[in-house]
Amino acid sequence: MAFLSGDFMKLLLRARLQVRLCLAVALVFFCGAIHAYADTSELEYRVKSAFLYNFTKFIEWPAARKRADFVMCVAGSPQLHAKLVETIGDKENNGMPIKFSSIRHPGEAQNCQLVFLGFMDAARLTDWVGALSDAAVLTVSDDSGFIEMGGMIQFVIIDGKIRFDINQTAANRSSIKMSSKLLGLARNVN
Amino acid sequence: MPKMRMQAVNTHFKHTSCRGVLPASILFMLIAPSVYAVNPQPLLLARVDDLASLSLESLMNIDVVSVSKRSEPLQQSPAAVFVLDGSTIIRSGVKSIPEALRLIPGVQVARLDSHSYAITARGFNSTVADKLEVLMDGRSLYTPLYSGVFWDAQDTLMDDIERIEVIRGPGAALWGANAVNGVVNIVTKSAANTQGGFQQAGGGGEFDGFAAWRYGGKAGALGHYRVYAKTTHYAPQESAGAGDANDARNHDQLGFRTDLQLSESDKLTLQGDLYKGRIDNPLSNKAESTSGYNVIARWKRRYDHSTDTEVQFVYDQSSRDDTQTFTEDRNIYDVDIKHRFTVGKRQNFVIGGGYHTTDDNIGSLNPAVLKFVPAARKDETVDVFAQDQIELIENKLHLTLGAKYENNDYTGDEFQPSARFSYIVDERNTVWGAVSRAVRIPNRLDHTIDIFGGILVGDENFTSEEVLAYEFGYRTLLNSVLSADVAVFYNEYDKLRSFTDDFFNPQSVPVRFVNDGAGRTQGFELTVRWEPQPAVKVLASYVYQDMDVAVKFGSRDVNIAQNNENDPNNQVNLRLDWDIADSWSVQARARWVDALDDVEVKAYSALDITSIWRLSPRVELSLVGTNLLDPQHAEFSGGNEIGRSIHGQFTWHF
Repeated sequence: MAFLSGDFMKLLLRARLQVRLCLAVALVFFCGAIHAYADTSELEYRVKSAFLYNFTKFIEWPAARKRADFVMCVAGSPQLHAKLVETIGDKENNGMPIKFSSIRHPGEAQNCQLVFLGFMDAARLTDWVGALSDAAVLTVSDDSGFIEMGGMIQFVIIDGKIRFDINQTAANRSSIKMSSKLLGLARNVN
Repeated sequence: MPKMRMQAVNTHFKHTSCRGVLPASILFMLIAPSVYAVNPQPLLLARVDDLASLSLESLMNIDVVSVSKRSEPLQQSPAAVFVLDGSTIIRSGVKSIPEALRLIPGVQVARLDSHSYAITARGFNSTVADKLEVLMDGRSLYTPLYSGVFWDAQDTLMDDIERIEVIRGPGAALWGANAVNGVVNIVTKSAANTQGGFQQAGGGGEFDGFAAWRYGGKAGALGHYRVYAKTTHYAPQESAGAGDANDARNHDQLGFRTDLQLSESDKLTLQGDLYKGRIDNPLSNKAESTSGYNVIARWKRRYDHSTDTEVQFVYDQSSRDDTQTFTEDRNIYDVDIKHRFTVGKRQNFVIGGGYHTTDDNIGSLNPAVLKFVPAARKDETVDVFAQDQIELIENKLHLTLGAKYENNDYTGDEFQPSARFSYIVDERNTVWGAVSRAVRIPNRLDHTIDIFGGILVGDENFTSEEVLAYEFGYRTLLNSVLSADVAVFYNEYDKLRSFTDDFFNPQSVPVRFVNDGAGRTQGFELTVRWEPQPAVKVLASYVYQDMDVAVKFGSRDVNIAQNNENDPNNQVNLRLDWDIADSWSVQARARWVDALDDVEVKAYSALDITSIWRLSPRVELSLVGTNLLDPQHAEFSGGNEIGRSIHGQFTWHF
């Protein structure tokens, strides 16, 4: 650790080479750096699951939609479905136990209050959004064009943190009422 | 002494005396935010396992990308950390950084008048408190003049603050020479998080009026920008006698921030502020003035989840004219680099270094009262640091070893090591402990001040004040709605600043500064969170501390205890956040602060209530009442008091 000795530091002060030294020190360590791994997607899905659960507290579905169970549906993302069950499996919504369902066709969404669309494919997303537009189902997705397609809530990741945009027009069309607190927390409201 | 007002020389000096002259260090260090081994993630004591019980605001603070082996949840950090998130600041309605610090348990905030504050943690409070490191976006806010913060010159758009992290206890191994009793790290939101327009205007009570404006947009395909401007006009505060304190002031500031993603792994942040303030001076018909500007450039390259490099440049210019005693012009240049990486599966390293230089020109407006000799000075500091966080037992026991070595122009070489451990008993219980050494490097005041024409002068033999700190803490999640955080500390101080003689009855003149003081502080800090319902949050804290400072045998300084022990023994804070209705939120804050005997400040209680009505998703109306329990009360020495205030404001997002 020669670079930590005081005399050497003084020398550096005189030579004004500090910045270069620091860089050099850093570079030496670069070589020794070992690439680590971290399963970030797992945490991301869990946090998104918690978001979905929180959304339900600030959203009112039309009375005609009320049933014995509150059903959260997932299409196109088995990972999220698994994390939903794991993260919020024992929760309730207005006294109704929350159930989870993995669905494949828009037609299966008639029992769902909420559908998370995990598809990557824009054409497929557009189809789903179109099919659900009159169904009083809250639609949520990660896709960056989801709001423009007429989806209701779109997750965005900014600086590693999850935010969301809201398409209030689309929600109103389906008689889904979002609280002003939720609208206030959204990054953008259309 | 943010004002160095020495007019009422003897009486005033008796009270503020050492306070008025108490300094700290010059070495602004370290690098950007969140380097602590701990890397506090604002998980607010919640565990990743219990995500479903978190509020949306808390969820929005979880870093889902960089959370990995290297950044632990707060629950497990081996230090007394508290993170105040931006949404709580917005809900509080506070309009300034010092007032926001009141929201953090364990930070001692005492307000003197419209613009002066005494702020510290774990003791040694004064208007020139010199044992706290304060950073905003990696820029050190404390002045090398006396190692404290001119709080009246520090501002930003309050809604743009993402979080304020406070570490009580020494943080010198990573944060620098001023981090003797604590670190305050203010982090503003990235430009991507402040898109669109924001306008706010209001007034009433302690404000003659204020307005703020911000707009954020896309900076091409690479990223985002924001620009903001604000003006705040404060009404005068109260005098202890009849009338007001005649200290009305205003502060105007504008600034920008750009965050660019240069490539998949490279991020560049450019930001800056420009400000100008004036403060009515009751002793002069000329207002005191402050002005300054700063720019920060920060480049970060990420190699993978646990390896990154960050380089930061800071330039900070500040000027002040108190119209009575002194003027100061100062430039600060900082370059810092830090690199994080892992070795094997069990060791996380942070290494780095920095070069810091400052030059100043301090003019004397009344040399018979105050001058600095020489009037101009340039100082340099170089530092290197390293920290290794070692996972001794997987998911159970972590050891964090850190040290900073630096060379400065006042004392030469300084070495500041620390050792911390955290033991995760189970998912709900964590125990931590630490032993650290930190120093408060001498500053311009200690070495070069000349007061009352040579009666009290600085001494270039004055050396660093030292602390050896022992800390122990315990965090527990009692159930899904109740958690508690306890920390105890015992600090031994040596070489504290004292006078060579009895200042008021000297045998020989000049009286000089010397390191003949020693002492200890001990204390206990308890924070409890209770969230009985999603719409109701309660935060309660109790801080007990006891100080004992004395001079060594043979010293003639009889004022050292009085000059240093100006901290309440007991302090209680309660905060309630309640979403009463969908569009109506209330925050109520109550505090009780024990008496400061040596400066004859009585114990006081204060109640603040903020009510926010969301008229639409874009428009909010707030009503904020502060110090509602009494017409006025003193929080510190100085002769002025803080009055009851009620102000209203409109906030409009567009």
